[in-house]
Amino acid sequence: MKRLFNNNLSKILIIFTILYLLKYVLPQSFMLEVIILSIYTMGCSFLIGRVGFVSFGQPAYLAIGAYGTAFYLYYFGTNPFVAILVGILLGLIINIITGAFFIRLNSSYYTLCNQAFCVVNFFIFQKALVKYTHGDNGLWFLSRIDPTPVIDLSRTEGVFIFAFLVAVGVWLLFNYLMNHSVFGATCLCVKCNEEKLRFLGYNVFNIKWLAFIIANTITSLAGALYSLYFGFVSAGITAPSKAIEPVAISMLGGAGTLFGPLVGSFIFIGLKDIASQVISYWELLVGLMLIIVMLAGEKGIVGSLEGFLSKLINKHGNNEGLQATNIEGEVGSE
Amino acid sequence: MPKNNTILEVTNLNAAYGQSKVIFDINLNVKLNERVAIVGRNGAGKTTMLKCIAGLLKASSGSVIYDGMEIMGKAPFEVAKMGLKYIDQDKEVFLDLTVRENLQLSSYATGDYNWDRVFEHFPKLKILLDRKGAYLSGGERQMLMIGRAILGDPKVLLIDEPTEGLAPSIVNDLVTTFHDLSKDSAIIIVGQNLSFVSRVAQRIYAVKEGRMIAEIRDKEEIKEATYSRYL
Amino acid sequence: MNAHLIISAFVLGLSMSGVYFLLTVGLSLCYGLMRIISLDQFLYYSVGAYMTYTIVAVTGNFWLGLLAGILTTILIALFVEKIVYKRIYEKSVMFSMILSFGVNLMGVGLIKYIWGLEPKPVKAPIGGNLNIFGTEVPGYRIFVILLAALVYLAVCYFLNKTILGTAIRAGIDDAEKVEALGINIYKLFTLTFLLATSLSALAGAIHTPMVMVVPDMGMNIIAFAFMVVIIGGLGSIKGTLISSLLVGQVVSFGSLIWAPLADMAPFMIMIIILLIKPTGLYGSKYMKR
Ligand SMILES: Nc1ncnc2c1ncn2[C@@H]1O[C@H](COP(=O)(O)OP(=O)(O)OP(=O)(O)O)[C@@H](O)[C@H]1O
Ligand SMILES: [Mg+2]
Repeated sequence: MKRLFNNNLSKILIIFTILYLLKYVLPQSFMLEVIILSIYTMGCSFLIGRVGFVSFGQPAYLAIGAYGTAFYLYYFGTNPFVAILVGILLGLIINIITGAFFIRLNSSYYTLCNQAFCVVNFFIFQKALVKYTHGDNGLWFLSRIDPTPVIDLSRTEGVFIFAFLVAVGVWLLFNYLMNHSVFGATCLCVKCNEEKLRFLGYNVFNIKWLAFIIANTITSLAGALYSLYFGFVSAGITAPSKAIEPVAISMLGGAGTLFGPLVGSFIFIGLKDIASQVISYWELLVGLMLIIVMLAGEKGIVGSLEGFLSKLINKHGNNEGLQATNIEGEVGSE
Repeated sequence: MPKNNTILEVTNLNAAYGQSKVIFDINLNVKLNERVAIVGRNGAGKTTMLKCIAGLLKASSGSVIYDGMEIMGKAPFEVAKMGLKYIDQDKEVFLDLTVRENLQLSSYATGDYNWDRVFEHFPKLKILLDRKGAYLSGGERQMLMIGRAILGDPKVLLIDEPTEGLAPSIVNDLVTTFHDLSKDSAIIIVGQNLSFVSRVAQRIYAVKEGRMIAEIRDKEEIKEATYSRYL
Repeated sequence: MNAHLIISAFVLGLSMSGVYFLLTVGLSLCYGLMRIISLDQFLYYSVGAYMTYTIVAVTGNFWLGLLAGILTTILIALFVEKIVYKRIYEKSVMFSMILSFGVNLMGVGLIKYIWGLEPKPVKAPIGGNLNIFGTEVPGYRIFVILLAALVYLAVCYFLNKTILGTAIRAGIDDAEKVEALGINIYKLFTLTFLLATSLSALAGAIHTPMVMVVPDMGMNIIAFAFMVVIIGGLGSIKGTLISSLLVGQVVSFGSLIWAPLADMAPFMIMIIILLIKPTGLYGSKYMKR
């Protein structure tokens, strides 16, 4: 067990070191977007791959975090750390409430209700609260962010390092959740066979609720980071047309795998940057990508790679690859 | 063509749910007009076996020859159309459909619109024609399921646990029914009710943990139900 | 609020209900029989609208456009079913959701490529107003309401009185048993899918005179359609009818009271109904898949 833990830990360290070094090769803004997007996707990927909840409404949770941060910086204070905390807290509170409602639904209703939730959020931020959110024009507060000691969040450089550290923390957390905790195991049971878990005496409601809260609060955290990075938030952040993106990235990278969101985000943003120079119809590519990934066996890049690697390793008589194999099975829970 | 009059011949049938194998190298054969029973404990794999034969489950290997033709890998509706019908264990007819609609559906599938034979075996269905499936009793559902299956003159009927949950008097009727039905087709029943099996079957296969462990032909043994030692 | 406002809001609500119903009844049927959630229906809705626009622009004939819309989408749907759905009918409903959203998205991209971004207007084929209790109501809205009612009756007739409809109802109950009777269930699936598709295209076509034809029109209506199917209960035709009537009125009167309410009120109603009945009004609790 210890060895496995170390193994994954070192993987996280190596991958993030590479990511950090990549900023000397690739534009920093690109890397920053990859990192925030992958934090954003992590929650979604965890819910799809490990709990069996597919949500078409993730931008809603993102927006809540983003607006929490934005409201604080625009109306109340100037300290970016407090602002992020406000974003996370707002996300946490709303996720606790919405979670208690959403997780009672079966999987198809969950997906559709989330999309509806996202649309409603869009209308709230765009129209109903237009007095406070300025709708599509958005809130601008970049100049209001105070310089901070140690990591200066008023500069992009600082935001980059901060986001980077947050990402490492998030990955450590999910590594623990997915691979080393009873909670992670019970989540998987929710996905595979909820009934059995109930018979074993677990409180399935609480497990789902906790999973929902953790995953979507991480999403809100990503929203807070976006907000800080751009110094600007508009209703567009929760535009329903973007709702499929985290799902697409999760599937691309491999839902429920530890590094799927990173790989997925990297390729996604890369593709986006390249494609935007060639064609202006981005939906076409995302749609096509989604279809190909799903028809190719829904394991995603990391899922397939892990399967391949573990086979390779097993051939050499080493069992260590076993834990890397993603859990086989279908995307959603029944 | 099959030698003598074997209508169904299953060889080396294997099947699995995902990773777990449930039936292993099953061999069985049935002649026309024969009544065969398969017995075994709960979870022995009887249902799985029948569903594989009917094409409702994909077997991992083996061969199923029906009426001289290989039917393994054929879609279930094709198998049913050819005259090999599977009758489910759960006694669920289409709840939203009336008895008439149930029969119409089967007629549509098989092109056999002559319901006289159905009413001959189950006169009661004639009175119930306009009742919805949801309001039928267990026995009536069983009648309907068998009734709609015999449209299209099937040559083989696979009937999964026909007596489960039925009153003894109805079970008695079923014995007669099966004797009558076997004049036109071969019948394979799966049963837990040994006295029923003894009265219906001419030959019995015993299954244990997915393997065929015995074939009982001896009349005396069938009558005395001594094959229960295989369970 | 005076009587004129109320009557015209009511009629507007009914006509919206008509569009919602046409769009969602297919979604519901597909879920009932195939246990798929076919989000590409929203693409067919847009294609129906765009084809109508194009044919109207060329020939000036709305009805021809409507027909062309339906035929085009049927061709597209045949292709999509063959490429996508045939491979995933056996899998969990999540597959169909994600995949069909992919199809939808790709289609939106293609629409942008073909027709561009600018909104296209379509003139109503039926002009003039009808006088209802002293209130002038656009005749076209009445037409939409009647058409939707007609479609409802036709769908009911098809499901209850024809053998294929009977087979579909049986399949909604238990598809495997329909197959065991000797009916090719995949043919039924295709038939149902095409039925859903043509209704979505019809919805798109008749909606054109009431909204602008834009590439995102499918995306714009998606949330309302979801709310309709969820309130009614996935897989139930009756539920779909009732909830589209409900949502239509709520949207129409909501916008009368306070504009943002048009978008938010249906959501609140959905939440309340789900709190009481997590499967929607007429959704069966057995349809857990
Ligand atoms: N859908 C399924 N998925 C996984 N395993 C299954 C499935 N259906 C059956 N099994 C397993 O396969 C084995 C054989 O089941 P089967 O239903 O064929 O038994 P049976 O002999 O018909 O039992 P019974 O008398 O209770 O009907 C059992 O161990 C069962 O747990
Ligand atoms: Mg059984």
